[in-house]
Amino acid sequence: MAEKKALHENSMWRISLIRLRRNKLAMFGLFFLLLLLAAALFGPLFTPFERDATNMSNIYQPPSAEHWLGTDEVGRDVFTRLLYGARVSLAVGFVATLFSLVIGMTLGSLAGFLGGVVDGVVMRIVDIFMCFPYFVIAIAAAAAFGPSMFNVMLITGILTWPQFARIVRGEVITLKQREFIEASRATGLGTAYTIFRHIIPNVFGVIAVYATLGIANGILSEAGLSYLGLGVKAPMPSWGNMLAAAQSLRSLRMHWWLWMPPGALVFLTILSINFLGDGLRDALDPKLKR
Amino acid sequence: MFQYVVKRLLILIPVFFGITIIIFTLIHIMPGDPYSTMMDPGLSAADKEQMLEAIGYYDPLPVQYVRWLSRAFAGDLGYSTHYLQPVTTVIGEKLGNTLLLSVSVLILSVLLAVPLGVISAVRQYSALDYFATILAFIGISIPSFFLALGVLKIFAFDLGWFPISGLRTIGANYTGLRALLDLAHHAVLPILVLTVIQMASLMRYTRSSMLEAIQMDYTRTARAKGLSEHTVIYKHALRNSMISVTTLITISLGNLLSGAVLTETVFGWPGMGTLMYQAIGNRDYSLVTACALLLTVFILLSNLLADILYAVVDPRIRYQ
Amino acid sequence: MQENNILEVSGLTTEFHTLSGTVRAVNNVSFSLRKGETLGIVGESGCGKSVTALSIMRLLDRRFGHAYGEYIRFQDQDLLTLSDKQIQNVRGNEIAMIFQEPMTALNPVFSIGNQIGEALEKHLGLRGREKKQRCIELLRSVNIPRPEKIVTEYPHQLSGGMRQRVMIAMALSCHPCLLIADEPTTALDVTIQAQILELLQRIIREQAMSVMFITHDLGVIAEMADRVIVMYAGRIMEVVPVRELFAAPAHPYTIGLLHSRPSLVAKGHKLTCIPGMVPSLLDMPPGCPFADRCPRAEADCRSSLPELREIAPGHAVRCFHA
Repeated sequence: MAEKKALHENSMWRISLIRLRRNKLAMFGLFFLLLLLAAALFGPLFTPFERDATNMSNIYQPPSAEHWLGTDEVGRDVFTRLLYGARVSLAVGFVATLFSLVIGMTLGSLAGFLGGVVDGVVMRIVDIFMCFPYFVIAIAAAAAFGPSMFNVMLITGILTWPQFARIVRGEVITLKQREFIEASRATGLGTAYTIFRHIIPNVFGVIAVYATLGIANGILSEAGLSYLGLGVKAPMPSWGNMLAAAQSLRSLRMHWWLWMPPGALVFLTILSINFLGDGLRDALDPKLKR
Repeated sequence: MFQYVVKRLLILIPVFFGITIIIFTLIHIMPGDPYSTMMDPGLSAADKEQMLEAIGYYDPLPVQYVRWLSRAFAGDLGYSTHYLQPVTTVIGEKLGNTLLLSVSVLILSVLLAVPLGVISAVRQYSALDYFATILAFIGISIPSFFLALGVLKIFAFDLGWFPISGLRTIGANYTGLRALLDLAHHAVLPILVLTVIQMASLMRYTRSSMLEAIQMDYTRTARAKGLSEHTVIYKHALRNSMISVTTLITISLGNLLSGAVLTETVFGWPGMGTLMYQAIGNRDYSLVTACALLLTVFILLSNLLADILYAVVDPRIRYQ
Repeated sequence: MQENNILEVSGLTTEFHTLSGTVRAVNNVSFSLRKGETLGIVGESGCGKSVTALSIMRLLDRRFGHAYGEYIRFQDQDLLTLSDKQIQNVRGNEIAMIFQEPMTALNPVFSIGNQIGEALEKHLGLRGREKKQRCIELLRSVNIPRPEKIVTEYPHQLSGGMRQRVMIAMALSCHPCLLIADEPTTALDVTIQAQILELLQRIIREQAMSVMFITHDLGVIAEMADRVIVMYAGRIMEVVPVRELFAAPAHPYTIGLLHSRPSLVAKGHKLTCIPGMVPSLLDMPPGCPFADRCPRAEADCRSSLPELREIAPGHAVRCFHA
């Protein structure tokens, strides 16, 4: 019986994988993200320029064979900074999602498992966070805590955990009523232990989808806040604070190579993540869209 | 139905207090002394301390919160230390500009996105469906301010078709129809950018809720009655999918107001978003708090309105 | 077409396209339905009985599946070749259908009157007061109390049994000569089930309708059907008059079905179940689809598919060893 169930689960994952691999957009997204990850990790090793090396005799140079994406207002190589910026932007996306996951899963499982007052309180907090004017609060919080990479991660994580809490709570409540929990009581295994052992496979799919989309949201938050000067601080480059070059009307009009590449990268990254996330959702739950 | 509305309203009350407490706390841990610019630089440090003491600057946060909230309910949102005017006066004129933008965007995006989403669902997997889907993905993925910057560069700088920023041509002093046209000319680009982004998610949502309705049992029953495909889709499926679409549209009104912050700043549109961003830079406490409060209230109100509309359009709640 | 037949189905095959391959849910099915007869179709879930009904009504979702075959003759028309417009004039008018789930089969956002009225307007051209009056009469004819009030109410305000009565009223609205009932009582409580069956029996008798009655419940078949088709894995395994079904079932699968149902009459008998599983529609064996579970199976059963052969007047079976 257990064997049959394992076999069944196994083939469900396989079918999901087949579905995902047939989704051209999702595959495009995955390919682009892997490429980007490789570029962020290894790219800086190959560029001849230092991240912060200024060269005042060579400022605002348009793209050329030497400087692929030109130079900025203090003569730094834009392409090199873009590669380093990818590290920062992706890190913000990942870490912010990790914060969000940890908070959300902890509070969600506590609420679902303990029920009663704890559940009530957590769910009210979830309601509160769901009604926040997201970007307004993010700006206010960034201004309050000061601009820094860590703060962007923290703020984004704190503002986005409720979705995870909801999913996990719902799943715990469903599982609590299922018969194998009764069985575990009988065999003396802890209920909590049993629930958590079963939750992981049950919520993995949904969580994976939302976490993927969460990374996109983290990157977007970083870009927006840093563009306003409330995020990652110079000289550390991020896509967002490179975009802030466009705050100067002169650069917006004349030096497109300063702000268009980071903006385009933010866009393409988020697009890829959305393609992949949507593909994952379809693959794991064909009911949602055929 | 009355009971239902009251219940929704009661749920919003703790949410309202929760949000205002968080906003208030956040803004009060912002660094810097907001009153320094207001006070006579000639005053001695001790005098300054005394004045701050007198206006309650050193009171514990909970005391300040209660005082602030009770004044806010009375219509007094404080005094802007930067504009040297009551906050309500400062916000008053900007709020209209933001509303103008948001409401136009909402109307436009509903008119475009809902039909497109419906057709996309009805002709699932057609060329039009793929085209609309790709377009929607682009709209969902592009950061609003980046789209705004691109549009600004191309249409305002390079082509020169539209003004670069602001609400009206400075110094032109148009009146009547000319003034209105001038305003419209300035509003085109911000509206374009926000509409593209707003449309994307609304279209996706309409499409999927329509697809869901099409494969429901009642749609099959309607076909089994011999109704024409047109009646089946545009009466039975559409009416059902519009229940959730209406809700989404109503909720997005609240989110539009606060979501326009970045776009407004790019276009120098003198609305709530630009105002709040500048107020943060100016350490204008009362103004920031008031803006955040107002935007939150809008979100809560649009959520409540969505609940009420939901009850109106869905007979399952109307006749309970 | 034989004169006393109302429906003749020949070589009907229905395929669905899935990610794992093409699936034949209905496989070369032929049968006929006589005027005034109630033909029961039984089988386990997934055997193709509902898909057969949907194929006849041409109600399959075209994106996922399609039906083809020699012909589906209904009166003077071949339903397979009718245009969309023509089949719409048949549906709900000459052939009506009742579905399994009264909870979801009615549209939640339109009133009962609105939903019954649609067919009246489309097929009979009734409007306004006349239409409403007819709706109320129809509701009364299916024993719904206070029909004047119910006509303005919405589906969620009614119980499951009431909703199924509404579905029946809707199906009867244009006096169809053929009624297809797809598990009409499966979703209901036992007592409600009995009431609905009784109502259906009365209506069928009064209006002398021909009926295709689909169910997995042999008890219901015993009460409703004149003749029975037993389906398994998309194929007809046995065609048998209802009395013979219980007295002299021929196919091992039919016998298995009869033994696996609890009976109040035959006390002392052990309740048995058919061993094994229905073969996957994706991976059909070349021979008899039931061979792997069959106590009488021999080598020939696994290599070739038996034909449906007549063993007594009106009694045919698809088995070499019956």
